[in-house]
Amino acid sequence: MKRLRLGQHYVPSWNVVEDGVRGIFERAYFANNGPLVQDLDRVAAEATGVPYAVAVTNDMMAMMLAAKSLFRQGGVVIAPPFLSPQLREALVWGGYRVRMLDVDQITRQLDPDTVERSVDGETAGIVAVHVLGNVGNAAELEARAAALNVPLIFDASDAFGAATSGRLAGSFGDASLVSFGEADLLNAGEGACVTTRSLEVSNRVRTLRNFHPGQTFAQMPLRMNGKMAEAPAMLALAAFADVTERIAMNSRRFDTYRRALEAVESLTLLEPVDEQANYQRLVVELAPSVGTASHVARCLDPYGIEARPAVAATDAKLYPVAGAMFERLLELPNGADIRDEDVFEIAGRLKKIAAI
Amino acid sequence: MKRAVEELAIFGGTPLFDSIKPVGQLAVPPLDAYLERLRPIFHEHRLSGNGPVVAELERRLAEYHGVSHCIAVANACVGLVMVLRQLVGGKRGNAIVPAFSYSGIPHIVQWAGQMPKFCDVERRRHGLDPVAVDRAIDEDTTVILAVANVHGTCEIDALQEIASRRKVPIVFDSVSALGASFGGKMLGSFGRAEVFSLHATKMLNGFEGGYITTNDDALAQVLRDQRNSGVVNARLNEMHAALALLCVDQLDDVIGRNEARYRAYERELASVEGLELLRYVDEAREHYTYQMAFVAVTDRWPLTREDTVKVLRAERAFAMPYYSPALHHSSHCPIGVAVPELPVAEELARLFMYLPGGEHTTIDDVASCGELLRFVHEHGDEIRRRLSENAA
Ligand SMILES: Cc1ncc(COP(=O)(O)O)c(C=O)c1O
Repeated sequence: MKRLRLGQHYVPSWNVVEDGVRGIFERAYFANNGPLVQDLDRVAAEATGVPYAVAVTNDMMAMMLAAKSLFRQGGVVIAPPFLSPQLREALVWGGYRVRMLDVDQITRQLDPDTVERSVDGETAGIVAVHVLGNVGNAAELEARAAALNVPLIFDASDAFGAATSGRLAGSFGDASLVSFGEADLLNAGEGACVTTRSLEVSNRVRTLRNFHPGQTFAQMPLRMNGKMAEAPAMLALAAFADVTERIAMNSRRFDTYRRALEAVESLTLLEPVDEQANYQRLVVELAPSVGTASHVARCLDPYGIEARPAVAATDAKLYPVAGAMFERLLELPNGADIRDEDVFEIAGRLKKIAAI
Repeated sequence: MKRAVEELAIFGGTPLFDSIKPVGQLAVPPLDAYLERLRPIFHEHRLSGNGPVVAELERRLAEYHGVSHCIAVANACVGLVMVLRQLVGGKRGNAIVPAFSYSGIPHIVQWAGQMPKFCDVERRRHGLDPVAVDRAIDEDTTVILAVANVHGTCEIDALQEIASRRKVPIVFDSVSALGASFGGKMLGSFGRAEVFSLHATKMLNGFEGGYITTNDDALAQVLRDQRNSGVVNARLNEMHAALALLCVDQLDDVIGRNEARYRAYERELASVEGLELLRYVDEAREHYTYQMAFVAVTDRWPLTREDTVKVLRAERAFAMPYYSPALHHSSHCPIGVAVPELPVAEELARLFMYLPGGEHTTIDDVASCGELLRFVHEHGDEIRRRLSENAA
């Protein structure tokens, strides 16, 4: 039985891969800020509407290096409870303490007022998430953080291509990270980039990602091997070239889900809130009568359908809104290999579970 | 070949080599074999997530190193941080590290929440000096990060004895010693864990990548769980794993070519006064990959090491100083760390340079380097004079 996987899993056509690999072999340039990584830095910046992007190993590395480029040593970082575990761990590796703040009931994002009340002398920075692919009120939080003089980093991994008021995800805050994991719209196998409007921040990240004297653009005491290699850079470049088509395919699949789940009251498909969306995350809100997202995911599993709570686990007692999101929001397969009949199969199973 | 000093590239002559002769290994399998490996990965849209190629690579490497567990990771630095963080168990203290070593070492231990405590090295293997380590361990010492070097690993037995007597966990950074043995036993199962790299310049080219080896079942389980459950993102992707896997198949051939280059350097440098090829330690008994050729630039040589490197680089022979300056005297030393006097590390850091090696350097290239170095020696006084004129 074919398993219906979570994640986007788009890959370029085989010709592109073959040509790309041939080129890498001919140049015999495999790693260390090669020509494809340099191209990618340019292309990723352009595509997010910022002057600078720096490609790195993966999303965790992007968080480690972005934090080190902006947050004061040893302070407290404010983040929503559903910040993904590997990004949270990245902050721990960086020597920061993470303070979770519950999100707003309506926007599902950090509430600027709550953030303002929580900032104190120990605060080193804020990490916000364009949760479920929505930019939402990012501009408001950005303005508040700037007024408070607290550096702000966005995890834009779910939101590449999403935009509101003409501003693309990846352009907010002091820096953003965009993941190029295989579950993401832009699939490089593994990889990520840090995007920023600041030359200084980009120079710091560029320095942080290696130890080499020739690749030193700022005074950074703590560095790391965070380099992306040429193979993932080749795939990321191909992903950028295909991105409009990929978003269109996502949007068509989203439409199929809309039809398949129509008129089921206990299952609400979450529509994007921004004017421009990437339809990467396919999330259904479950009525309490249906059971929790974890429960439903377990029920779908025997049918070869992968599903999971749409956000990372959080302590519902401490963070009621994020906790409710963990319990009620279910993510469903929405990748390159999911056909229309798969969508109807998934929706059918889901309706049966909801009816019990 | 050069007939006159002005024909040296540094004085405007034509470079000896048409293309750069690097020091890195840069081994590549046949392109077609690699594309064949990639086809199913792309057909199934399965580029990462600890897929079947990573699993196969881990099996092959565990077998190669004679160790129970191999855990592939994104690169060696990430692997080292994961292992160190696990072994220190949340404590903050100092990590004993060699002062004559890779520039990433002081950074790696800091990502694991430790401050580096630099220790001197011994003269034979250039690894941590066991006597110095025994003296340096204090109540704040959380871990020993020993680095195994390409030409002779390090004093593994003595260091392990101290680690167990003083009850401090020991980890080996074996990145440079992939394919080397100690006491006849392949590296991979010493200490609590060892970490290797799959960087293109190392023995197994996986673009970027790394892996952890250990016989400690519990440690392996924790590290694997962390990687697989998304607590950290340290995954190696399938494209990288596939390239590394094909390099495992050809490892013996690569080592054979390296040894041939090394023997050629031996022959060439035998007649060059003042440059001493660094010998692999106890060759009769141990395995080595002969990846690197280092020479000590002695005071019988007419130029400084730095000037020699400049002369060679102008000829596109990509020489470079080896582990220089010593870490405690470098920009990699964190602010606030006491900087002790570590005479052996300091002396070694002034002494050696790498000569070109790896797959882009032929035996003929080695002969050309030898000839060039003999020429430099013969015309040493004049070259020195001209260099100082140019500088002024
Ligand atoms: C001794 C040593 N340790 C660690 C590393 C880091 O390896 P990686 O590039 O896979 O992170 C290197 C790389 O040059 C090295 O030489």
